[in-house]
Amino acid sequence: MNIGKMMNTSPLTVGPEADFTTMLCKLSCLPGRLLYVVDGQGRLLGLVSSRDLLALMVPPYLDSNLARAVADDEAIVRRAFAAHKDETAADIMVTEIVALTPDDQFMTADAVIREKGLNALPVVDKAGRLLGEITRRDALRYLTLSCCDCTCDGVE
Amino acid sequence: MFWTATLIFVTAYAVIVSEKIHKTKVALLGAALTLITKVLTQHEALHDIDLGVDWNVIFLLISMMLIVNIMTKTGVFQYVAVKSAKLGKGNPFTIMSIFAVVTAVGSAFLDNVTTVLLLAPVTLLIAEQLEIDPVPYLITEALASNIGGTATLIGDPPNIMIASKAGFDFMDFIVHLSPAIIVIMVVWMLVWKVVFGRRLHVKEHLKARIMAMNENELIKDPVLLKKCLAVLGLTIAGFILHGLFHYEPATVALMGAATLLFISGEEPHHALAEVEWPTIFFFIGLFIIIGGTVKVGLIELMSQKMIDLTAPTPTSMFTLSMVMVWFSAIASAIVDNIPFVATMNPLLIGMAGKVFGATDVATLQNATMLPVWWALALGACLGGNGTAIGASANVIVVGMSEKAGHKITFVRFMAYGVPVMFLTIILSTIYIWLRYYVLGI
Repeated sequence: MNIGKMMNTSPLTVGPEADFTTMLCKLSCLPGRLLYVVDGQGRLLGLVSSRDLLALMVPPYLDSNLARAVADDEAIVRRAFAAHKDETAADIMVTEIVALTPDDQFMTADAVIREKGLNALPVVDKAGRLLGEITRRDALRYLTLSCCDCTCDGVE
Repeated sequence: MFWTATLIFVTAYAVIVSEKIHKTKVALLGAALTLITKVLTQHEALHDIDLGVDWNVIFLLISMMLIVNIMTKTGVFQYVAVKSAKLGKGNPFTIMSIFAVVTAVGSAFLDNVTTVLLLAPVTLLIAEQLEIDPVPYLITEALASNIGGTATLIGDPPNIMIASKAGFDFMDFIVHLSPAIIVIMVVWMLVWKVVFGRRLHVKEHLKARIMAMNENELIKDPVLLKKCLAVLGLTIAGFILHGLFHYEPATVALMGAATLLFISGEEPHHALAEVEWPTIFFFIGLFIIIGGTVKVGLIELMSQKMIDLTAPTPTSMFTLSMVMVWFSAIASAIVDNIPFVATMNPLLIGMAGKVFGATDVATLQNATMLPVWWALALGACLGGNGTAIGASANVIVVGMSEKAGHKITFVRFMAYGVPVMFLTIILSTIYIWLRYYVLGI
């Protein structure tokens, strides 16, 4: 089972110049937890996750206990947004990427996702162009459709 | 054997100073080479009091780390920090001064690194709420941690090592070093008032944010806190009295740690997992490397050089004391003060052997030798303030600040650290000269 068959071919993408608000809007309003930063030719440059954006909005030094002492957390978030609003996708993105190719096996993808503690992995061609993404949910959906009678129709 | 031990010692020292490879890896490899080349036998490395691992230091460190690790879970340190900020009524300089004193007192009785690790997040939060630069606060805390840690036997690893080798007890440090540290803290805070007093101002509505913080929410486990405070209190009482009952400090600390582990309900593997094992194994490796140099006579050779340079006599070691405080400070600003003191301890014992003809505890603690030990402790501990890599607390603060988006450059740290280092070393020099060579008390 290669992942070319099960990947989502419409991942969320932005250009490197995308601003902070655009990234926040895309990740909040559209399905998907990763933004793929691509250049004009569709080559993958980096990733921005919802966790990366949250880390900029919530002070990293606050642990669950210390956070309880804060009287107005909304004000902290607003100040953090003001401090980061001019940053672009190129400033924030993670560039050390683990990517798969469409020919990789499902077992490989699942093992990499587990080992790296990620939610999704990009799938690229030999030139590094983004073809899609594989998430645990995509894999599960494919396996469900292939192995049992569940068609998802009428499931509540 | 002489050249083998010397080569291992010099190479290990050079690689540790370069910071290219983790110091624990270097120390353990150096120790393994010392044993495999038979410079030191395994029996000597593990059982010989003069040549081997100083288990008193090792168990004191592990036990205190265990006590602090369990205590951290109660949230008491965050409570104290937020309460302190509220005591300062949101006034930036008052908060800076109170945090410096809290850090110094905390570091005198707990590990320096733990103290700054616990206080730095609260400091960052307070600075964020006041909308001011946290860097002067964080650097002040690192400096206060190193200064406060100098005051007691358990405050800083160099003091633990000196106490173990020279046979000092907890009260010796309180009597001889605490007065110097109190003077240093007062003078430093007066200087800081001149530097920061007028510069740090915030509007009233920002101060109100601090006053709105709820410190009572931070105590996670009041029952565990009571147990921790009781055990810590008894352990400190034990330290004060250990000389009287002829117990080593490690025995007192182990009793405290074991009792707290027993009554706290903490799982041993959790509490033990958080012990700083790399630091513990760094000490073990270092003791073995230094033991090799003592056995082959390298340390004896160096102590003869020290005698030739400073001309100590059985009645006065004035020149040596003065040189020691400055040499230790400058060396400790550049290299880790732990290997430095690990080398200086046997060197001073060797020198005492040549000058007095004996190296028993009474000789090592006689009136002529005392100022030299205190000069070493003051220089080695306070010298760490000079640079961002001079002490572990500095490294931690720089790392946490950068992670929070406030980069502290090496030069910026030195802009604070070097003047404070010189101020504290000048005061230490005056203290040693006045107390031991003018007043003779």
